[in-house]
Amino acid sequence: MRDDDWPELLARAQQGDEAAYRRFLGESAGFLRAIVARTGIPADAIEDVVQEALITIHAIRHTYDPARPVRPWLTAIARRRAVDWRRRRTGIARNEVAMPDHAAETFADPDSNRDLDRGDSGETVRRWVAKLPPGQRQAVEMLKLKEMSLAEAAAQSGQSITALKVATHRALANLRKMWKKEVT
Amino acid sequence: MTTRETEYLIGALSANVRPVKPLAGPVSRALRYLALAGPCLLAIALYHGPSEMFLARLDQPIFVVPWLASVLTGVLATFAVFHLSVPGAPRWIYLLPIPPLAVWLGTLGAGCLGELVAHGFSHIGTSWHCVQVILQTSIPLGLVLGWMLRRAAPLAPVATGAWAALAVAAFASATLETFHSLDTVTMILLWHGAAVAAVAAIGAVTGKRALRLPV
Repeated sequence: MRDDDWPELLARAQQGDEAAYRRFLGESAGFLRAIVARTGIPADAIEDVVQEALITIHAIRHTYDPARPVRPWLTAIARRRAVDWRRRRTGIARNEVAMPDHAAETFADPDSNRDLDRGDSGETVRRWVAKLPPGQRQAVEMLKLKEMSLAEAAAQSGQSITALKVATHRALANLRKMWKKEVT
Repeated sequence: MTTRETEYLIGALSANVRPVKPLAGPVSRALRYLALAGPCLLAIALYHGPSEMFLARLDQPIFVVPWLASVLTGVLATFAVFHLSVPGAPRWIYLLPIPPLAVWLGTLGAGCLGELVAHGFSHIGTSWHCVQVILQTSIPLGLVLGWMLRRAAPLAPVATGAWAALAVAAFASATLETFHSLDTVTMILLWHGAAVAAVAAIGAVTGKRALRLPV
């Protein structure tokens, strides 16, 4: 890995040179990865720590003195982030419990009720409502889906309250039939 | 996360990167602080005027050595703080103020032991005034130091805070010694030592909170 240019690249990045900064971060990411790996961080977490180190580098890039070597600066940041990751992990481990072997019996499996839940989905209900005769459909939409009061629905539809009640009763009976047909 | 995400992050960070003013080197910043604090402390010492006891003791190593060591502790702790305030400081920088601190406390301790053997505990009294002056002097010195560290990014904030507080407390103690000399080495160790330790502890706690990395 050639790092002769890194001090100059980072110095140019401090002046706002986007291309130099992109090249510096891209090239130094491999170096950071090696440093983090050497700290004993698990392989699946190395990239997380490298990314945190990159964000820290970005936030404190003004603390780099172009007259000084860049590797110790990068190494210190990468090691610091590895230590922080370990501390966080220790904190999590202290407050969390490992998943038991019989977890499947402990926690709900959404897929297990798939067949029973089929009839409850909003989309299915809306499909069934669309199949109802116009009067019943309008009653259900206003009273059940839009949750309007009988008086409001009567005023808006021009039907009497009794007619709306009858239409709703019939609509629910039809929907019940459709549901039974669907699940059997 | 994957390497592709890292590449995406690099792209996001470098896109439209803003120019930043690089921080001056640690030696330069430490010298600037000393150039600011030194004359202030000298002015305080001259305002009160050196005590007769201080002038009379200038040829007694048991008093002069710890006094010089306290000044050197302040100076080296200041250099350590500015080095530690940016990533990449060598490890030995952490230990920089230790040798003069050891000489300071060691010579005072040895003198204190000699006094205790010779006179027992009869010469021990209270000097809350020392604690008060050291704290009062340390606060403005510490605030100036904190202001000069505002753009820094210490990776070891507790050590940086403790050394910063040690620096200002050592300077305060050395200045106080010039115009308010205590009768015995034991008293100096007891009251100056307690005040300096208290300030350093406050610095460590404050550093942990105030000197955290920005991300």
